[in-house]
Parts: sequence; C-alpha cells; structure tokens
Amino acid sequence: MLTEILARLPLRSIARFKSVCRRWKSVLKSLDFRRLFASVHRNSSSCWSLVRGRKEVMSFHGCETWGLPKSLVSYFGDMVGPGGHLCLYASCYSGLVLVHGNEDVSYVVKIPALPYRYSCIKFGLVTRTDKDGVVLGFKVAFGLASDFTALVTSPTPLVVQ
Amino acid sequence: MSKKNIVLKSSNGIIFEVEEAVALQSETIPYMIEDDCANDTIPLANVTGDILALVIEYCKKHVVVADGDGGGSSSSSQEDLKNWDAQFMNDLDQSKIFNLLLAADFLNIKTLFDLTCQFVADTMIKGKSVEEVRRTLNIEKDYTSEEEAKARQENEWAFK
Repeated sequence: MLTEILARLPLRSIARFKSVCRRWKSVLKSLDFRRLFASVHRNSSSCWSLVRGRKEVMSFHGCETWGLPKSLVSYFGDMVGPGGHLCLYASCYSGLVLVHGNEDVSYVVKIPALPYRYSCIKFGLVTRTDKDGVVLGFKVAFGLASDFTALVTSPTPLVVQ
Repeated sequence: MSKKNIVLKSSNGIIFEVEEAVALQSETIPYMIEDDCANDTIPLANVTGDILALVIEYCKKHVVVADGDGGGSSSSSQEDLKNWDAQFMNDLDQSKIFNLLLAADFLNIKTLFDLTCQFVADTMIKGKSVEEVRRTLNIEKDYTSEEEAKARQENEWAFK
C-alpha cells in the first residue's frame, strides 16, 4: 500500500524521501518500484529546456512526473563539474535526457573519450530502452559547444545496465 | 436486458441494494457472487457501512452507460467527473480517506484505488520535508548522520 502511494509522487519527492529511512530507500530504489512508477506515470509529459551556454532560452517544467518548481537548468547547471562532462541522451520515446558524468549520481552513462582535440559537447542518442526505461542501446554524437543544447527529462528515470 | 440488482451487506450489518453495473466496478464482487450463489446477499466483512456508502456513491457516479452514444464519453463530461472526484475526496477526513483506500483495495476498484492513492500522495506526503514525513508517519530514523548526509547529497537537487 505504501509503495502504491509513493509511486504516485513526483520524482523530486521520491528522490528526497530516500533520506527518510533505510526501508524507504530500498523500496524506492527497487526494480518493482520503478516498474510501478513507470506504469502510474505513463500518461505524463516530459520536462524540457532549450539552453544556449548556461542560459535557458525556452522551457517547460510544469509536468507532474518530475514535480520541478523551477526550470531544469537551475538544477543541472551547477552539476556541470570542472571536467564539464555533460552528456545528453535522447530517449526513443520521450526526447533528450540529460545525464551528468558524476559518479555519485544514479543512472549515469559514461560516454567514450572524445577522439578530437576540439571542445565539443558529447551527445548520446538512446536508440533502445526497455519498458522500465533501462537503456539497452545508444549511439554517440558530437556537437559544437556553441550550438543550442536541449535538456529534456524522460517520464521515467533512465538506467543503464 | 432487465436490470438486475445486487445486495451488499457491510460489516456492521447495513444493507445496500445497487444495480449490477454499479457493483461490478469492483473486481472482487463477481468472484463473491460465483462463490456464494445460493445466497442473494453479499457480505463484505472488511467494509463498514459509512465507507461502503461512499464506495457506492463513487461507483454510481462512475458507472459507464453502455447504451446510447456507444459508450464514448465527451471531454466535458470527463472534466465534470474529474471535478466531482476532487470534491468527493476533499469532503473526507483523514480516517475516512484511509478506510476508503483499504476498501478500494479489498474490493479491487481500480479507478477509486488510483484516485485515493493519488490524493494521499498529493495532500499528505508530496510537499513535506523528510522530517515532517517521519513525524507524520511515525517512522524512526535509522540512518547514521553520515549515511543521511550521503543520501541527501546524492539527491541534492530534490532539496532545493
């Protein structure tokens, strides 16, 4: 019953409530919970931000799934570390997904090292996910840092196996 | 086809007679009818009269009219139904909400179960801080200070 109620919360509340106690954390991190969350939120929309450099040009962040009161960039902006390992993923059903290359953050994909010496943004184009949002396949692409960058969250948290 | 009525009996002995289509929104009741076909009254040992009255009120409002325009409901009536649901939940106190949730689970009424879970999530849990949730639900903190700091740091964006 508790799981059923928690699965109906936005991701922001779920992430926060991993700090409540050990039992909640293990429930919230379980595969069963993720499946339930995905099925409850399947009709919800994505959040997205269109960004140039650090500046947001356009955005939509009113969706129920994530429950963000502020734009996406305000959360991810300061996560771009000194290495600037910003990776972007495009989910096949929900658009682009931002994943940061910080190992402390869950659901991280490491993009292969850049073969060029120019400063580029690395994009991972997700080509296949399973029904739980687990990434099964992706392709890497590069773009110039001065280009527009789209940050879009998926309705379900993406996880790489 | 003539309309058939079904008689439901609450745990405290209150009798409700409802149309079959209303009662069959519960996926549990058909099994009870099959199992207990000799008796016309279906006893619901887990649901009290006041909660069963609420369940029936909800089911009557949500009964799908099969004849007429082919079962499709217009977007305006969908909107009306949503508003009705919101008002229905808002009029209930916490203990009624909790018992309604248990009844919807027991009777297996999917839409009512969804509605009640979502209402509890939105109004009692969603905007609360970690400390408030522990207090409200009487949960003991079993993290060490380091573990709690780590869990918090991992999900820092959710605290802003």
